Amino acid sequence: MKSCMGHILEVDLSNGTIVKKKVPEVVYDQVLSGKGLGAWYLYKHIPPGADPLGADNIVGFVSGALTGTGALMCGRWMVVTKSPLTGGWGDANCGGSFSPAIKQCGVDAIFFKGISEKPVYFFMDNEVCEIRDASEYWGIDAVEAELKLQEIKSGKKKPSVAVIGTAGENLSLISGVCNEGGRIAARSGVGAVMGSKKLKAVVLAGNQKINCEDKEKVKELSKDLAAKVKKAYPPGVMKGRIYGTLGKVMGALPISLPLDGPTNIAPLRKWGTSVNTVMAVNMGDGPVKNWGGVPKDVSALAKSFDPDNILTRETKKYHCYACPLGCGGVIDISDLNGGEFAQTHKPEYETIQAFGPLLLNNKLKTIFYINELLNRAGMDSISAGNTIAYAIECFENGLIDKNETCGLELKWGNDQDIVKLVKLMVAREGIGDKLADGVRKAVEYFGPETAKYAMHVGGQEPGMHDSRFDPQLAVHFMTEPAPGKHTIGSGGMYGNMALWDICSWAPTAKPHSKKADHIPNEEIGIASCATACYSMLVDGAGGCYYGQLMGVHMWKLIDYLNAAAGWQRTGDEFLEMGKRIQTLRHMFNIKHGIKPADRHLPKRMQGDPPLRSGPLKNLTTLADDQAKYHWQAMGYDPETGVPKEETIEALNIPSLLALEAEVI
Amino acid sequence: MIRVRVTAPPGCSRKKLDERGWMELPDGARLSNVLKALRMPKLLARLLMVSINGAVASPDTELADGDSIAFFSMISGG
Ligand code: SF4
Repeated sequence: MKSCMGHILEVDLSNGTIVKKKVPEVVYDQVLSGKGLGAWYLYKHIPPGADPLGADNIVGFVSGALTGTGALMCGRWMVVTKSPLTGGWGDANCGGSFSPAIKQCGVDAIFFKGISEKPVYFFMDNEVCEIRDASEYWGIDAVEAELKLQEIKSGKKKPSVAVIGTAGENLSLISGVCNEGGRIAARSGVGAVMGSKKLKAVVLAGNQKINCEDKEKVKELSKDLAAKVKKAYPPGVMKGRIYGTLGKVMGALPISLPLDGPTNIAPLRKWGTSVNTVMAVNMGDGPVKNWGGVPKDVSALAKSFDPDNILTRETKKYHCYACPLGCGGVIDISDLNGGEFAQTHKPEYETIQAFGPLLLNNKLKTIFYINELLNRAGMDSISAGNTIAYAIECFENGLIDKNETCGLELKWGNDQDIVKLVKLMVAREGIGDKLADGVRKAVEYFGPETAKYAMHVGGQEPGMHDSRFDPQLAVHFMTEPAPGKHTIGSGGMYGNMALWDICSWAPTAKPHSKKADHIPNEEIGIASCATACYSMLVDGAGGCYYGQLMGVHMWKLIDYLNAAAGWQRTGDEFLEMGKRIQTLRHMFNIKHGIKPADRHLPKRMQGDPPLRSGPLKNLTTLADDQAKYHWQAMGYDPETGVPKEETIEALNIPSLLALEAEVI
Repeated sequence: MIRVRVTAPPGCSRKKLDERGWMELPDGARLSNVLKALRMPKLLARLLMVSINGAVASPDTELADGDSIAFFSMISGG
């Protein structure tokens, strides 16, 4: 595939060897780059039973097949590994400029195995490729460490850095990998794997050219998309509060309406994802009070989380590499906590929700501060928020007492003690040490009677979208090889993406009754299958979730891939490729002892028993039954979730796995 | 001829939409033609923030092939 570099790098941190290998062309042809290349490599090279924090585990940094080609919204980089949080396939994804930096070093991926004796970082530019001592950076937070590492002399003015904070160094199982001042590839505990290898950072400074087959076509597609995005901005009179009102209307309707993908652009451009909070809570999509509450439990919801309050602090907007949308921003927080931090990234919806309504905390300023604490530590805010919600509910029910909390009053909305708890988790001190590994580990410590308050799927704390609100989301939470992720798909996303425009077997989304939606059915199973497959293509290309949300008729991923590779493949053929990637990731899990059908949503997240008021009143999601339709559509055994032999064969996976990358 | 994609709210006439939500119109057609086909009053369309490719648009805007027309400015996910 002309848009890929055709090579990978293998680095053994135990013995210091670095080997460059050529990847057979057919691998790109069958699974693209990104998670696809990662799944192919990790399946082959991590032995079953490997300790995720041991020498046998591998952590890979992978770019996307479209990164650097001129395709827009295709600059995401991915970390792939065996997750210490779930024991199965793990991945996390982030924007910034690290994805093109990988390819500019002449490779599509860098895989690290082994364990270094002392802290190291990996450096690469056009001439040099080596493991270097990182003693002076160890113990430093991700933001400061990145700034220091960017001062290193290299072939580039400012190298790109992926770095762990202290949470990763401390092997927190909910730690991630950061770049660009604390933006974080947060999920699956990928930071702990780097920490276990004593790998503080990967510093890249190459400037090799990235190719592409049909540059003119890619350019034409990008020009069209950029022009459309540029036009979409909310009218000046439009206030962010309107989204909260729309959320109320949507929450009260007995039907779900398919939404148009491009309508996401304007609010994202102006407010970023923070625009979602009040709307999500009001419509039942945003979980409240450890997934047990309702919108009215959050006092002053609309006022406290008014997205315009965040904009008043915004000092600059930013875009990821090659993105015309630019949902990111920096906000001034120099007036908070004695000026400890000058600024932080505009917090994402996920962080605001996890430290706001989920904890009944309506102090936005505290959330800004926590955002920066977590970004610097490199800790996943979704997991941290869910874990604190668990701790508060345990405290409320007398299952954790003040002796265990170091004197903290763990109460809903007690923002000052929530901040103290975050600091303890980051430092792994006192109760923070027990909570720094997420809810599943916390239950092991605090006892099985606390399990009912622990919201996780297969060990991963769920993203801030409610499975009772959206049964398709519930299925993705459960059936995704890296479970609990909100970015794979949902019924809402399905409507946005309009996959039926590229795929002959994907059903068209229509307005439908919310009640009917909650009765397991084949149509949702086919839609979730199509979504999961398409989502793998997005990751294989290095695409952004918000490109995906725009819909296939706006962000033309299929056309981009065909142009970049010189292919003329149909949407159906591409979705088959997505299924191949997804199946490889499932096979990875099975190889490592995960039984897909053993992963369930907590009862509370299924609405068992249902909430008695609010937008989710009396809604129960029969996720286990719906999952069977998903497995069936994927060509897996509907009872066990294990891919059928004939499916694996039809996807050419055995011959793909027989291929080896060659040393050059 | 051009084809535009329409995410129509409930209550609209869907007669001119195919089963995948696309509408065929002559070259040079305007947003008002779509509103008419949907039997949606212009004022209501404005109230519902009718948009083309995510940008709020006035009914006299000329349409291009592949445009996406919708009636709320909503966001999903994040
Ligand atoms: S939409 Fe936001 S996250 Fe996605 S590429 Fe653009 S700036 Fe990055």
